[in-house]
Parts: sequence; C-alpha cells; structure tokens
Amino acid sequence: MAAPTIRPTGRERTFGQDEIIVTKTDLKGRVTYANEVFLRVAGFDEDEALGEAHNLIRHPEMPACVFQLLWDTISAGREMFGYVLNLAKNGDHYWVYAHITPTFDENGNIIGYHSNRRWPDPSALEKIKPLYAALLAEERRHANKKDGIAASRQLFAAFLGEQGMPYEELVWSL
Amino acid sequence: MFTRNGRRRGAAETELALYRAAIKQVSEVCSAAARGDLEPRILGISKDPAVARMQRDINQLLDMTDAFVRESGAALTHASEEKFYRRVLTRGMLGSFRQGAGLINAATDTAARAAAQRAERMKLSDEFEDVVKEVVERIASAATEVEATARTLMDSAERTSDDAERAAAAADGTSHDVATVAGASDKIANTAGGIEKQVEQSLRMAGQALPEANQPNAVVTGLASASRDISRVVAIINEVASQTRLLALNAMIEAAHAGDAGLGFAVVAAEVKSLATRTANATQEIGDLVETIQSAATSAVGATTVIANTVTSMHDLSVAVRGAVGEQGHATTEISRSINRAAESSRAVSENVAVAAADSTQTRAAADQMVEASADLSRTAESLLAEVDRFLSTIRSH
Repeated sequence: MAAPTIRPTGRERTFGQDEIIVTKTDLKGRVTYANEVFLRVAGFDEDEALGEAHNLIRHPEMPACVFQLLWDTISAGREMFGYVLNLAKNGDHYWVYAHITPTFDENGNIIGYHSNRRWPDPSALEKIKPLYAALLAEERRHANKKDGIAASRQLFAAFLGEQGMPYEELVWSL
Repeated sequence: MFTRNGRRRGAAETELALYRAAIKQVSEVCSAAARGDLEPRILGISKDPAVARMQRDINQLLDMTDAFVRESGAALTHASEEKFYRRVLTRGMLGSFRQGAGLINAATDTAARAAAQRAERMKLSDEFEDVVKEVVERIASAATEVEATARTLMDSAERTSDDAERAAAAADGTSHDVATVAGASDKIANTAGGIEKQVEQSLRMAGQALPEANQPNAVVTGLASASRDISRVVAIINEVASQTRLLALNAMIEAAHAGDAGLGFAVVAAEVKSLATRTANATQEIGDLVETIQSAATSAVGATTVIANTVTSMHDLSVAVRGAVGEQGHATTEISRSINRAAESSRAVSENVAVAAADSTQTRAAADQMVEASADLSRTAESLLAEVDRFLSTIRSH
C-alpha cells in the first residue's frame, strides 16, 4: 500500500455518461481487475493497477469517514452507493457515483468486492460537495485521525438525522 | 531467403501462439461465464490491437452482465423489503440490458404504488379502527351509563309509584276527613244560625221582660202605701172599738145601776163590749196582716229589683251572645269555605297523585325498555367491533 504521493492538479477529468468504470478487488482491497474505462480515466496501465491497493486513487479531499462507512457496509455483505472524488495518476481528479458490492461464493462467503462507477449527476454533486467539505473540516480539526473520523461520523449521523432518512435512502434521493 | 522465410515462419508461429493463448484465455473466461461465474476477466490485455479489442469487448460484456445481475438482484432484494427507492441504475446499461433494467424498474414502480396503496389502506384501516373503536367504546360506555340511569329511573319510578299509592291512600283519607269536617262545619253553621235566632228571640223576650220586670215594684209600692192607709184605718177602728168598749162598760155599769130595768140594756152593753173586743182583736189581726203584707211587699220590691237586674243582665248577655254567635257564624262560614277549598285541593291532590302514579308506571315501563335497549346497544356495539375487526383483518391481509 504505497503512500499517495500524487499531487492534485485541480484539473477535472470526465468520462462518458454511459460508461462504467469497473474494478474488482480481493478482500484486502487490492485491485484484481480494472476495465478499460478505469485505466483510461485514472491514467494507469493495466499492470500498474493490478495488485495495487485500491486507495491509490484516493483523493486527499475525500472525508475518511465516507471510506469507513463504505468498508463497514460492504464487509457486512451489503452494497454501498456513494459519490467519490478520485485522483488520476497525473493528479487530475474525477467525480464518480460509485456502487460497490461484495462478491459471494456459492456458500455466501464474501470473496472480493466489485465496484461500478458511473457518471455522477451534477445536481447531486452540488448537494454532496458542501457535506463532504464539512466532514473533511471536522476531521482536520482533530490532531488524532481516529478522533477526527469519529467526530465526522457523528456529524454525518447528525446530518442524516436532520434529513430524516438513512444514508442509503439519502444517496438515492440526491 | 531461408533466413527471411525462417523469420517469417517464426513470426507467424509467434502470432499463432499468441492467438492460441488468447483463444484459450477467452475460452476459459467464457466457459466460466457460461457456467454462471461472472468473476473471471481477461487480464493482460494484448498489445495486438485486434486481440485487445476482442479481450476488452469480452470484458465489457462480462462487466455489463455482471452489473446487470448485481443491479437487478439488489433492486429486487430491496423491493422485496419495500425499499422502492433502490432502482436498477440504467446509466451505463445499453440495449437489452437497459430495456431489462427499465422493465424491472417499471415492476418496482408498480410494486411501490401497490405498497403505497396498501400503506394508505393500512393507515386508513388504523384510523378507521381508532375512530370506530372510540365511537364503539363511547357507545358502549354511553349504553352502560344509560342502563345505569334507566335502572335508577326504574327504582325511583318504583319508589314514586309506592309513594303515590301511599299518597293516594292518604289523600283519600284526607278527602274523607275534610268532607267530614265540611259536613260538621256546615252543621255548625246551621246550628249557629239557630242559636242566633234563639238569641234574637231571648233578646226580644228580655227586652219585653225589662219593663214588666220593673212593673211589680210599682204594684208593691202601691200595696205598701195601701197597707199603710189600712193601718191608719185600723188604728181609727181600734180607737173606735176601744171607745166603744169603754162606752159598753159604762153602759153596763149604768145598766147594773138600773137594775132589772137595765137588765136588757146590760145584755146589749155586754154584747157591744164583746163586739168592741172582737173588733179590737180583728183590727189587731188586720194590723198584723198589714204588717206582714208590708214586709212581704218590701221583700217583693227587693225581689223584683233583683229580677229586673237579672233581666237587664240577661239582655246584655244576650247582646253579647248575639255578637259572639255572629262572629262564630262568620268564622264558621269562613271555616266552611276553607274546608271546601281544602276538600277541592285534596281532591286535586288525589287526582294528581293518581296521575303521578300512572306516570311513574309508564316511566318504569319506559326505563325497563331503556335498560333493554341499552343492553341491546351494548351488544350491537360489541358485534360492530367484532365486525370491524373482521373487516380490518380482511383488509389488512390483502
């Protein structure tokens, strides 16, 4: 798991509205498959991506609590939807509407994860960006990373409480 | 030539090997997919553009199929949990996949509408249940109250009826007593009238007797004066008799002197003397008698004065009696009138009491019906509740 050393450029990349970015990972989040769209948008060669930890495309502006929620959800065997800001190899960024699902064997055991990322609706992004900014700010207020995540999850929970719906329903409502 | 040919053959063999390897790889992945294992992908995309295109197309087909399976499975799972917001994402789904996704979403919409209708029905059922149960409870409690009230009414009607019976008896007794009193007071009035007449009569008689009562006085006074005259006459007679006796004595003496010649005369003189003595005695008796008469007359005067006084008193008394009797007459008339009014009142009371008795009987009957009706109402409310429960359970199970 290489530390992200890529410096964001602030340039945004986009992809086709009917394209799907597909990756598969093993249980530890290492990339086992990346489709053509991924490689093109993220700017990696296939052999650069395979075997790497999936967080190689994690953008520093993403609140950590969202990934924690993601892992809590999918490791519990449930699907997770989320708007995610990703980092391309060259430091450009791109927003996706990610749908991550566990892959089960015939006995129902989780054997890996699958991610389909779609073109995000700009109006949904307009709503999600300030929330992420607030969560990120909360996380950065704390010297300790763990405390920061705990605080931002609390903030997130409070936000959902205000909206009066669980996260899953909120994501679908955007 | 050899070298050139050899190189060409070598390149061809290499290409063939590449193709064979690619075919093997494609075959393995497709076989797995054909068995329903959508996980394997072709890794190590070839540098050969044609092979790479095939590899990527197969991967894309698998990605699309994989996505459709994951999406449709997730959407249907959510729909079965009534989370209808979870749809199949059609973005990135092409052609038949998109059509299939659209069909699933349409089915989800239908299910969502049905669920919404069902939820609405449930809500309506709940509201209906709440309302009906409240109404039924109120009816039941009202029925209970009505029943209790009706029972109280029945008891009180019964008591009223008993009271009315007793009151009727009492009123009858009162009526009877009042009638008796009225009769008696009428009699008293009549009697008082008689007394008045008699008092008038005695008054008249006393009035008449008053001068008459004073009359004996004058008679007796006349008698006294007459007896005094008699006394005087008697005294004169006595005087005459005494002188006569003296004269007779003298005559006798003279006759004695005269001897035989005077013998006859002596006899006459003796006779005269005896007459004079008898006269003196008689006048003595008359004087006594007159005295007796005089004292009797004096007594009579006293007695007639007493009588006259008594008659006066009697007259005065009669006047007072007349006044008293008059007053008594008025009072009796008043009593009679009052009693008659009382009799009327007590008759009215009797009638009212009879009416009250009849009313209370009716009230009791009505209360009886009310008790039955309220029990009936309670039963109806219960069966309504049961019916509502049955209806609601039917509605809710659909």
